[in-house]
Amino acid sequence: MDATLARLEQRIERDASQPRVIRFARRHPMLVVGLLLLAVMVFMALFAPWITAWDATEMNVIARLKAPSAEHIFGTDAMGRDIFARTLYGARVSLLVGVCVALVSVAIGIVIGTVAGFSRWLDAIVMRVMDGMMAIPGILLAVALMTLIHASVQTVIIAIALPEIPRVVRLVRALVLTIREQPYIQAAQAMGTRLPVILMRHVVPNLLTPLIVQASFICASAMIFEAYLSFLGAGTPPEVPSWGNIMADGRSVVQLAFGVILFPGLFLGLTVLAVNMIGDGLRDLLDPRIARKL
Amino acid sequence: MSTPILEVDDLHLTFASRDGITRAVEGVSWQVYAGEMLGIVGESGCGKSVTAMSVLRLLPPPPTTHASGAIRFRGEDLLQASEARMQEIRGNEISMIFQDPMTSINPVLTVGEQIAEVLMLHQRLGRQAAWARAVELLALVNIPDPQRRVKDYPHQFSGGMRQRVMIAIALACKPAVLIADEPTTALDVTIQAQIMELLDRLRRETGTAVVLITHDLGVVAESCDRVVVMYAGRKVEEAATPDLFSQPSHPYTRGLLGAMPNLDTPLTQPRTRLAEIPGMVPSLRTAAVGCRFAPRCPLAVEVCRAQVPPLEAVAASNPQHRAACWRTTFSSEKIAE
Amino acid sequence: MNAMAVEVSAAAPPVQTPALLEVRNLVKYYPGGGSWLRPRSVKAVDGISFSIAHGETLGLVGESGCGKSTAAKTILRLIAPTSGEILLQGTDVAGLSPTRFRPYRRDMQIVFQDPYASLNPRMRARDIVAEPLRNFCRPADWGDAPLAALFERVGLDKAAMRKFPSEFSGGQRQRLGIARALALNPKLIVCDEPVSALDVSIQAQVINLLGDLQRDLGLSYLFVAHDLAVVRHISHRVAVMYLGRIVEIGPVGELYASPRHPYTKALLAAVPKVGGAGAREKTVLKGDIPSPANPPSGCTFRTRCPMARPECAQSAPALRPQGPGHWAACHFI
Repeated sequence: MDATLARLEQRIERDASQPRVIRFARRHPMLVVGLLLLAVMVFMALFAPWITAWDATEMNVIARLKAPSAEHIFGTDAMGRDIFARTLYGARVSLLVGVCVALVSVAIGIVIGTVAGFSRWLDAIVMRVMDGMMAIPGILLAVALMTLIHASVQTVIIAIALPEIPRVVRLVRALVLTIREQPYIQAAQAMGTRLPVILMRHVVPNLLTPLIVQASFICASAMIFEAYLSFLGAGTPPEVPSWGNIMADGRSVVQLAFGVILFPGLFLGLTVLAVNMIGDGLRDLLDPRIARKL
Repeated sequence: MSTPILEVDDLHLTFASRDGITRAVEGVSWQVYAGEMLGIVGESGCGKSVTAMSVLRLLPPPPTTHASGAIRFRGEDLLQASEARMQEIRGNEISMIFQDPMTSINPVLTVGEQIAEVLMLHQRLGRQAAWARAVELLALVNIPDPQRRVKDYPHQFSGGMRQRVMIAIALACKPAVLIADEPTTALDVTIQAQIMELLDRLRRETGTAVVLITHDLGVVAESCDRVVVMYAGRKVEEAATPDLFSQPSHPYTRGLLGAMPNLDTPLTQPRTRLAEIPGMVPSLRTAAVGCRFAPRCPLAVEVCRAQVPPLEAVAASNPQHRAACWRTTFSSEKIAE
Repeated sequence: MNAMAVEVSAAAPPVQTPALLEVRNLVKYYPGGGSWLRPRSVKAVDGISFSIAHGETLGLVGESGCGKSTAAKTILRLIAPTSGEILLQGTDVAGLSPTRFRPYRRDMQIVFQDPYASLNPRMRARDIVAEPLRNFCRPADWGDAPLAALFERVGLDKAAMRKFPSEFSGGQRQRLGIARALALNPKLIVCDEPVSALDVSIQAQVINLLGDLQRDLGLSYLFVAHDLAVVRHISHRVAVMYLGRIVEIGPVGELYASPRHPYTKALLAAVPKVGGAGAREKTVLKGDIPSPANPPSGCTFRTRCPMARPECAQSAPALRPQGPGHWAACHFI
């Protein structure tokens, strides 16, 4: 027994002596891989002008539908535009949409959910509205909104965020109902802390952990949603390259130049995978109940 | 003195996690004989519950948990037994009841199903026979109207009655040993009295040995034949109940008794302060040199910090009353001041 | 069995001045018991009255469902009272609007049972204790020096101010909760089972601390607990509750030495005692505690009372004097 223990202790010490980054990577491999993958995508999106000489919108009708070559790494599309450049610039739009939708829906969701959790009569009204919104398929709601308003990246963000809000509100409301019963909230009331201060100082900080995880999943789903909308023609305007747009354009010519759909689709898939992995990894990291096993 | 029906012999339990190794139990031995009630007392973190769980091998397997030593049930070492053998023993020859009656019984099965399950599994009774026996068991634990209640779900019972149901499940197969892990901690004091009376009556009627794990010295004083006191993973004192309370020997036992307000002490005005044990229970991550209680002990001297005190008789006349202390046992005269 | 070193607190017994807190016929009913066709209220607190003098501790004991925690929180208006009067130094605060009641919060504070859930896990110890001061005082009052003084008073090190609650042990967290309750210099602290979740040796430390604070600061306590021995140690007077009503109230010595109400007797008999020989003569109460949603008619204790007779179902007994300051509610004593 002592021998086993001694070996165990040695192993624990060896683990503990490794640099923190390595230790972290070994314990949370999914999170680290997801972060790396996302970092690559973000890097490419940010440094697109330096990575490729081609412009995303420059049309060159002579060089239409070329296969991947040294000059055009991913080939060209029906208008002669370089797909690699379009993919890189498209990353900007898709990532932007994903992140903004997550932020907007979580921010609005916190406000509505907290109010619903604290006020019984507002709760009834708000939740029925949310139930109504959830009853409409998200795609239809988004498409309907896009037909009503002028299409641009901002409006796409709003149209995608809107169907996501009810889910966030549900989550926040459930959390708030639990937090409300905690003695530290009653303690704050007993000390004369006013309700708005209680909300900001006690309730919201304790909501953040599960919401961060939820936000990452919303980001992933928003990027795919944006691709759907663009595919249906109700998404980002055609001048702005987004992965969905690129794939939508290439629909008719996929047999001639499959690269038009393959490469943006691949990038979209990898990015969404990365964000989902980050979400899963964060949830495991932040959950205090998962024991720190060997 | 016959042979003990259950014997824990020099048990060491360690838990390993990334943060290090926790020595939960170090060299603990105790025995329980047929028909007696042994009390194991200690505060949180002393290792009493994990000792009990290791009897039934309910702890996670290595490398998370390491156990060494022996746990002998009727002579058979349970730490070496196969999992199949342990399945035969659990609920059948050795049973356990837990602290929280809300979560220890399955809320989606009726009470009758849960009792019958044990009977059908271990005693190979048919459904009819098992349910009939379940009704008898409910009557045995004083649940009124058992014919009707056997079909009820746990949430339809009060806390005290759920605890009785758990006792019924545990005693269904007439086990030789019952381990009760803080069975009354979550209950009101009048209900606690009912449950302790029930346990006492049942053990006398069936001859089951009971190991009662608790932090409540009062419950132990009233119901147990012998007591083991644990501190920070070690046994510090053991004695027959009257001896322990009339002549507590180990400074920790004395400290505990002094720290408890007593219904019988005279009320002075102003009140006398409760005797505090200063400091806190030490972390079990670090290996200890010497007595674990030394940092908090008013009697500690050099040898206490240097060497682990052995378990020795407190007085020559009473070898059954033993304590692990350099200063207060029979042999302490040998230690130079 | 207090054989180890004993220190005697040198304080004088509390002077009988006009009451700090007087509660009259406090009632709290919750809707929701019973079914849709026959709605019933859950009578959590069913008309209780008592008073607490300056520097005095009133112990409030009872088992689950008796309403003692609800009563304590209702007095602090953390729960809205259904009816009744709460007189704080003569002024009835039960009916005041929340804004007008707020200044009175300075005089009444609370310490909770659960040392883990009563502190915001995301706030540093310093900010937790400073919060009441931020609500009512000027910035100078929540500077490092006054806060350090509070920490020291409850036996916590100054270095602890920067830590988060998860870095403290249960006993230390409870001390933190006490420091927070002391911050505004209240006159009354409601202690809602403050030591139930602690180990015996830590309980003693916290009980001694509460006693010292009472002696030094002239605090009054409403000490809600189910542990009868602890209540006896710390209280001057004790009230016993059963299903929302006070069944007996009196000076601690007399109530424990000669209990009059059958429930009090049974409660005291049920407490496991160290020191007596093993099995002892005990009248163990039969049956379970009835649900507050469906209390028995008349005297609520009659379903478990060894002395119950048909008259007990007819009317609920009123509190009758049994001695100086000692009252009990039973038809037959």
